[in-house]
Amino acid sequence: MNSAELNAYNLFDSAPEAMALVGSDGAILTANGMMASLFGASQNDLIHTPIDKLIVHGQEKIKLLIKNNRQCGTSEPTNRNICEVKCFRNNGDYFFGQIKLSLLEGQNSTVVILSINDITHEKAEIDSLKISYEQFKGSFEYSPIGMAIVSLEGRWLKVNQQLVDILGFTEEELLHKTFQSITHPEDLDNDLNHLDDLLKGKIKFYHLEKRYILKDGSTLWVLLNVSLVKDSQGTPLHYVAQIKNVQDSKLAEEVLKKKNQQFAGLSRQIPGAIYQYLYYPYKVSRFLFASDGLWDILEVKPEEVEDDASKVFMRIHKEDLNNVVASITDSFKNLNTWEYEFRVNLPSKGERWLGGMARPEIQDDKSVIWNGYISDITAKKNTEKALIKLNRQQEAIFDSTLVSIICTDLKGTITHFNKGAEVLLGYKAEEMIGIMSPGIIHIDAEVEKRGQELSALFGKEIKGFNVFVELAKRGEYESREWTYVRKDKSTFPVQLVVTSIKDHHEINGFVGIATDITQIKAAEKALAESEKRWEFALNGSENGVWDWNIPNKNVYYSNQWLELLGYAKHEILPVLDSWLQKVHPDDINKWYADLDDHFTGKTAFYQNEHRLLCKNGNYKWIMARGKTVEWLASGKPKRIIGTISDISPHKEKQLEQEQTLAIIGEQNKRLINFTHIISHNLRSHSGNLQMILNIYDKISDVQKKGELIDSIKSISHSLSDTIKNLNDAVTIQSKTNVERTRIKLYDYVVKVINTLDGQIKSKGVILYNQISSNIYLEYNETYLESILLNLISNSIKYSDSSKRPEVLLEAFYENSRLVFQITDNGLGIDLNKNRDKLFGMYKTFHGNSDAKGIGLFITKNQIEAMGGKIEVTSELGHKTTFKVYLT
Amino acid sequence: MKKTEIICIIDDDPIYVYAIKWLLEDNELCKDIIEFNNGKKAIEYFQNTNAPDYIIPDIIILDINMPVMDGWQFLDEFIPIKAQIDKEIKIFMISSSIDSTDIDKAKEYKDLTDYILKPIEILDLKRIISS
Repeated sequence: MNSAELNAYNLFDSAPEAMALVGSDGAILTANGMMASLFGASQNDLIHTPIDKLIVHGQEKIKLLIKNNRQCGTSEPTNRNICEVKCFRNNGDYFFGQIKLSLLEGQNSTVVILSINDITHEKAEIDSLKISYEQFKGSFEYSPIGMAIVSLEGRWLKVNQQLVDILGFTEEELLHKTFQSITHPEDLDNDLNHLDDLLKGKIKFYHLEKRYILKDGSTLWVLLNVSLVKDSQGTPLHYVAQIKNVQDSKLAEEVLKKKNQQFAGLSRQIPGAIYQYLYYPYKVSRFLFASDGLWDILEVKPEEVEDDASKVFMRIHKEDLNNVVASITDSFKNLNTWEYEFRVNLPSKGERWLGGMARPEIQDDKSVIWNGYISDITAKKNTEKALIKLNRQQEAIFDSTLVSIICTDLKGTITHFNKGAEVLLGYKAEEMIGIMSPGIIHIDAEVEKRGQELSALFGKEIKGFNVFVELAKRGEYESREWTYVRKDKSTFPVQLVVTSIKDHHEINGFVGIATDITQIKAAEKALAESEKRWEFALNGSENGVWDWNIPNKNVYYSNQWLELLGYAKHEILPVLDSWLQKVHPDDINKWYADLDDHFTGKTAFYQNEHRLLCKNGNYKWIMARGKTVEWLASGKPKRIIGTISDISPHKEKQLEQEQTLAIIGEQNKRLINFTHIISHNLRSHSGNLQMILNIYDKISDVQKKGELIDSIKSISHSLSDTIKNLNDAVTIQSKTNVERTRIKLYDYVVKVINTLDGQIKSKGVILYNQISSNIYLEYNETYLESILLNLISNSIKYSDSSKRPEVLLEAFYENSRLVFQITDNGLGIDLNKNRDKLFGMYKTFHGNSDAKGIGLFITKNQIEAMGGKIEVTSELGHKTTFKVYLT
Repeated sequence: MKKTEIICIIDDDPIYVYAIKWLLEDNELCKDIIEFNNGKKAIEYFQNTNAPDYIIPDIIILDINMPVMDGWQFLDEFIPIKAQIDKEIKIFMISSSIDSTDIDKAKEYKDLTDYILKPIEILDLKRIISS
């Protein structure tokens, strides 16, 4: 090769395009590197390879090229020289290539230059584009639904025939409009919102139901489906919309909705539930539909059993469940109407009776759907049960051998004579039916007597059969005692009730029901006798009897009751207040409390001791006892009967005992106190004596010993005084029966004031004596004088010299007890500190040298010995009041 | 035996006070004795700290039954005063009362060192001083 050739070759070999030189025989003369790599072979391998082996119909195309070239005389590549071919690689794979052939005519030979591009990829893209375009075009034009391409602003860009048909505008008209302008205003926002989401890429497409306003102004419901078309860079180009006319289905839906509402409203009015139940054995059991009434009936919501009916079956009473299932199975098999009554257990209502009825319809898939109705029949069931019971009772009564039932027609001919009548009267039914009542089973005289009573009552003659039925004819009900005569002529008492038998308000007969009351009469007689005995016993015991009807507050008081308190019958009204008004005020609370305990069942008997006001103005202690004998349906007591008895003597003794016990207790307390006083007062002297004697032994100085003897004398004196005082106190306390005389209080007060005249004057005390001169008392003279002297002299002794001393003396009755009271405006006593000690022995509070601390101790003892008591109130520095209960 | 104690006697019984004083002096059990014949006078003494003869005792021998202000009332008023005195003061209740209420009451007072029954002997006094 020369250099030019070499250059050309190098150019050829390194070209970026796969190239080969092919001879006119179709064999490759030379191939460049790209060619080799494209076909997966080496350059050398390719030399001499027939082109057909690499390119399908390759040789034919080359032949054609050469032939055409010779005909046309041109070597310029034409379209024909560029074609797509299928190529095979060395390993058998194929690919699509685009080849360009150009002829290189030499002098000796013809060579074809072949260049080839792998277009497998591009070809696939174009193919798919081609297909989709065709499809789109087809679907657009021939779509059974309306389609449109819409600009991003909403302008119709392209519309198909269906859309034109749907909307009623011509294509021309539509292309000048926007979709917004023909969308129903109420639906526009929704549509625009979706478009916005689509533009922002939030959604890929959307569909919705909306309305268009058509050319003729009418509204049309359509189903709209919109997607967005973008270019290869993702820039939105336009929308594609599919529009389907759904006017008919929408209208149908509206109608259905309305109908459903009406139906639901209607079914709510029905006191039960309407349902549609589907059953397919071993597969499905569900309520396709159930009205809201299902909740009332079964306490199950319709939606809870829409897919599975088991919730309903769970409500059914255990004992009824198998039968209910069997009844449904039967209806399923035989396709007969299901009708059943059964019990359910509801969470809130408890056990109820339900009744249901449904017609089955077999479906194509062999499942069965029942359309039915179910309701609560508890009330009906209960009535039924009661009726059955009543019937049985009536039958039992009629067959009873204890009750005689005799029916007659209007005139009195016996039409029915039951077993009881047979047993009681000794006649057979066949003997009696057809004969006239009262006839042989009554005593004529009795019938006559009653007849006279009724004649008088109604002012017309009533006799014979009418005696028995007159009241029944008048619609009244009469029950009274009669005497029945047996077949053997023996008689027995009966309680006979006669009523009319009515048929549609028209009396067509009478029925007489009689019970043998021989036993009752006997019991009544026995009761009357026992009552008599009881009354007799009560009269003997002098106990009063009372019988209280609690609701109406009426009380029967027996003569003994009245006599006990000295009242005559007309002085006491037979009401509860008569009693209550006479109960002592201090006893009334306990009176009620004890009664309450009995009424509430805490006590089996009512028992209470209280004072009752007698006719003579005194109170009498009585013991009331009673027991409730009748009760109201509410469980409250209705009637209580009891007695009262006079317990005054007993009670007085008891009170006296209580008082004695209190006195003994008080005396005991005083005794202990007294013992302490003695021990203390004597011990202090004996202690001193012991100490002084010890000193006396230890010293030798005669003069000092003499001094000690003086001390001992002093102790001896004190000891005597103490013993004397104690003796006084003991005397007062040990005297249980002190002599009493009738005393005028005023005189003694004046006497004491006179005694103290000197002190009163020296202290300048103003004394107010406000004691009335007509107060007398039974008292011990010495004690009274001592008490008055002590209290008045104390009030003078402890007067406050810084103010004008005043002393007030009073006497009055308090709760029928005579009280002497002395008030001063003196020094006062700090009672917080001294209350306990005020009346003790040897207590003084003011440091007065003449205060011996014995006065109030003695005073208190004297007062108590006379059965009284002493109280004190005081304000330190202001005043002191002593209050003495003399009686 | 220390001879530094100051003893305060509060009692209204002059013979008892005489005997106690004699015993204390004869046995040289204390340096000084202060005496009051009721609680009120004693309280007045302890309240008047500026008095020329004011001196704080080491031991108080207290009677219960006294006129005007008894031993218990004295204690109730003295305890707050004692709390402000920077010196230990022992208080002995000495009474002839064997009333259990008095004895029980004495136990409630923490400030009381002891309750001693009359008559008092030299051994009792020595025990008090050395306690």
